Amino acid sequence: MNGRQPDEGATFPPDTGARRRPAFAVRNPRVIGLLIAIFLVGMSFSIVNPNFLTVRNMLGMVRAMSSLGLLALGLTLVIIVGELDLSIGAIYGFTAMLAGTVWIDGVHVVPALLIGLGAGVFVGFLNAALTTWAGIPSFIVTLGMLNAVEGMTLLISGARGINPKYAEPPVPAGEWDIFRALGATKLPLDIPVQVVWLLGLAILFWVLLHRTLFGFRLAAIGSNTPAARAARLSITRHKFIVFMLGGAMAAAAGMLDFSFLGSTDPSAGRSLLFPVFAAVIVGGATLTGGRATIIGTIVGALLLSVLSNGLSIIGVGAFAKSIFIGTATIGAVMLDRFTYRKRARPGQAP
Amino acid sequence: MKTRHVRSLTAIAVLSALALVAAACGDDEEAAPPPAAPQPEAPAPPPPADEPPPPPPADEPPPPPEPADEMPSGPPHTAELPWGTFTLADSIADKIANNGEFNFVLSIEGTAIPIFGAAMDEGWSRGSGEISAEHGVDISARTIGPLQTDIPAQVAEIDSLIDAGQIDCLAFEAHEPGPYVDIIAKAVDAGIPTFGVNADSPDSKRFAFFALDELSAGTLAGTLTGEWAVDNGIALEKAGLLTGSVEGPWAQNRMNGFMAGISAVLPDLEFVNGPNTDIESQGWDPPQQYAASEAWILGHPDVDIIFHTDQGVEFVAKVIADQGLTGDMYTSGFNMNPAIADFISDGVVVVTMVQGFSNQAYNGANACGDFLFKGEFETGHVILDPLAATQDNVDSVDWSQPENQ
Repeated sequence: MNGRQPDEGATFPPDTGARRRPAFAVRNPRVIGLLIAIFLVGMSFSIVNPNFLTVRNMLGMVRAMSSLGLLALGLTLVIIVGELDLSIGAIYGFTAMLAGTVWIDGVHVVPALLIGLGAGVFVGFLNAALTTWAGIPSFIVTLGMLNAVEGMTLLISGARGINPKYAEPPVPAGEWDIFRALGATKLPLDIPVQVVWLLGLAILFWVLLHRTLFGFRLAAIGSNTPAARAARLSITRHKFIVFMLGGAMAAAAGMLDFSFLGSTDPSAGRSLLFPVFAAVIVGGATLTGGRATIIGTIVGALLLSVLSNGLSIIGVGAFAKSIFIGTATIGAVMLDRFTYRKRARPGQAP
Repeated sequence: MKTRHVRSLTAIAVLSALALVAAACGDDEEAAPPPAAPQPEAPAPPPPADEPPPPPPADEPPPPPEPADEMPSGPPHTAELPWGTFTLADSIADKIANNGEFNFVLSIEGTAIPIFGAAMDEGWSRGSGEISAEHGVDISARTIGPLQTDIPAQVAEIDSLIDAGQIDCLAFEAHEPGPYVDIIAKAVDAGIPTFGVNADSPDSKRFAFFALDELSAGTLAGTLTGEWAVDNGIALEKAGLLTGSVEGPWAQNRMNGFMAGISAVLPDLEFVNGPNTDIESQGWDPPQQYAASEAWILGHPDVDIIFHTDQGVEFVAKVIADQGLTGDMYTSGFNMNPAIADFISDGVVVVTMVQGFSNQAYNGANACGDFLFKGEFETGHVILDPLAATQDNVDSVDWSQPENQ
């Protein structure tokens, strides 16, 4: 030990090959359990309604899951450092509305979308600043930010939805095509481009969280902040980065859905907060920080999407859908606590 | 040192509180209605307050009563309603007499609900503006309410404004009938004329309710859809229902009406769900509406016609188009925007009922003006006719304008 820290971005932990890593199933029992649950739930739905298990529906389901997944990726980083971000749904709606409004007002679509993305990062910056510099709990900060950002959305939209295609004057056709290509393109085999966005960003976040020193430090900060501080980790800087990444992912999800639908309105994103938190928690994250995985988050989002899609397909009604998803979330956390205790041994983290 | 610092702060706080109290008292005095101003037709202005009135000549008629005792001029300030006599608040009557500024407040369930919120606000502002111009009075028109449906928040906001004396005429939209009864009673008992628009609370003390007849409008949508199928030789065998708000009586009425209307034309049509069975509530978040509609449609590929109770018809149509089902599956619904108009032109949407949100709010504002400045009012359900938009007439209106929605 020479006391030097590996560079940011370095592979961590180094794969020396000195000892063999346990199998994936052993390291990720939660993910395996979720995959089994998805399989069983999917089979049940397909028995009730054979139209569930069609390629067309599967593609539609993963497309609908993409925005949930993108939001959940950003939230995973925030949660792993022991913070919360309740404003992500509001950022989702605000950034789409902002980008659309400035685009309709004459700004080219590319800078308009960058403005939307920048706004998401800026709201994340504000969340981080108030949480770290002012010392206000992130629950309070982001709860307040949720309302403030929703108010901004209403302010810039005049409480009206926008559809750039029907704006006066209409946006240039070339810019409209660029805009639609981002979220509404269908790739070969009818694969929605939003799924590719999700996969690409999920891989990026997986590398960031599980294969870099940065990710290791996030987990260290979340699991034992005093120790991280004693180790002279820059907790403030890391929290700034994760809040800003969370804002960026919310903005990306909002604008991709805006692109897919071709329109947005002030209520966009309001119903996303619970499913996003549920996806991250069902995926194995602990709200106290220090523990979360990208693959768990994605599989958690997939389970919720399967439930939501399947319950819509079999038409069980408004009440059953809420009950099922709420119960599944609580059940997943209960199961996690049970298995966590079983695996944990004195002096050894599971 | 520390104690002295605390004491200083305490003293400042106490002084600040006293200053606020004093300021509040001052405001009260300012806000108190001034003596009634002389009306143009009054024979003589009242004497200044600081001068004793001159003795009346013996051969002249007695002078008019003192301003303080004078009843405010203007239209009758009472109204006989089915539940009893309404008496206008003195403060509002004074504003009429003194040409004060009026607060016209429209409370709706969700100011950010697509199409609905903006169109209601537009109609309310437009109606209030016309009343203001017609009668030469200042009117502050406000549309209030939570962003999304939240009945307790909506009721609490009305309650606060009544307590603050900030409502001179109220129009409200009731997401459900029951929760509004008490707050409307409070408003009316406080002397605030109150009208219902769009969705009613029929047991409340409101004067009149301006809206379409949901059941009839739904029936018309069903009838027109059925007739369209017959006229075009399209075999509709299975139908389904979708809604943004399954619990709303308006949605239930529209669904029941649609089922009755289309079944009268196509008696063999089978519904795979009903207003209270196997129907999900999609809300009004566009991506969620699309995803839920997509899943439902892909799970029911044998359905030929889908009725959506509200603007979600846009996303049902988009799913039909995106899935390449145009010509195999159709939809009808309520509400209108340019995208829905395009889907009508493309033959995906058969008919949509344009409620005229703006027109409903506009009528509410006019009802306020008619009562306050003319003493005229209506009672009961004043039915406003919806416009059925089909391929025959969809190109005749600019649907991007809120006043047309």
